[in-house]
Amino acid sequence: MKIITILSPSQLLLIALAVPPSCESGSGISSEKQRQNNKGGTIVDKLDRAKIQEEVDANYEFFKTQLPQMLVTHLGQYVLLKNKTVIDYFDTLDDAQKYANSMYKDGLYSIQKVENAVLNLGFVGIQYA
Amino acid sequence: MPKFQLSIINNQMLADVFILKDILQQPLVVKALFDTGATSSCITTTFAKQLELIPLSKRVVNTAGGPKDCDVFKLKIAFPFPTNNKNKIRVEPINEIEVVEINDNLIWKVIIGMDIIQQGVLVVSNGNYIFSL
Repeated sequence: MKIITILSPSQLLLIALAVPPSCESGSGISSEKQRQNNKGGTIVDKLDRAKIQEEVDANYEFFKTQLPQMLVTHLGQYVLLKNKTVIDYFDTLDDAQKYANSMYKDGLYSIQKVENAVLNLGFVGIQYA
Repeated sequence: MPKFQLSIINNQMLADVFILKDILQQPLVVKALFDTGATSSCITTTFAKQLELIPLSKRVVNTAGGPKDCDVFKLKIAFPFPTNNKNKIRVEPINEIEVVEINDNLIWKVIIGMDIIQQGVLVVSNGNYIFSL
């Protein structure tokens, strides 16, 4: 939580805020470290993004073929995928992401939740999805 | 609990939210739509590209044309709440969430779904709504 001073409500759109994105922000993370791929919205060059998109798409196609088996054995868990291969299963997304970030600095991986649910975006979302 | 109260316009609950992209950059203020019918929060395609988000996974989403595979990103959102001092606001960040990519909309860039709404209290009454965290 932060109390932030602004000049007027109309300047809300322009205000420069120093809000920590997470609890980690106060731990002195260097700018260089922030540039590492962690799939959390940090800086990634365009080439990497294209590669990552390809990797995610390919892994997802593989994931769909393996899903029936995974539903039996790892329902509700998160599976870490790389090069259309299952690396490991994790109980939480954060665990999977931390492991992936430590192992694959290039960011070329994806994490899928093992579930059969279809996401419902409601009446509004369904028009724009 | 901090809270804000806004009017419902055209039967839509719209609010300004902060998008916290990077510790090194200023947060962006964008219009968000509160949608209690959405199980997950969403982000428009153009805005996701503007933020240079990279996909973490994909999910099947129900659309008007049937199920569709959509990219999923992680996003940090914060809500601005008024304080007793008119010149100050209280910013409450929430934990990083997964958002699904959807097509562009002219009014809002983000849909606040039940994954976020359930973290707080949403009261709809008499043409207004109150959201508190």
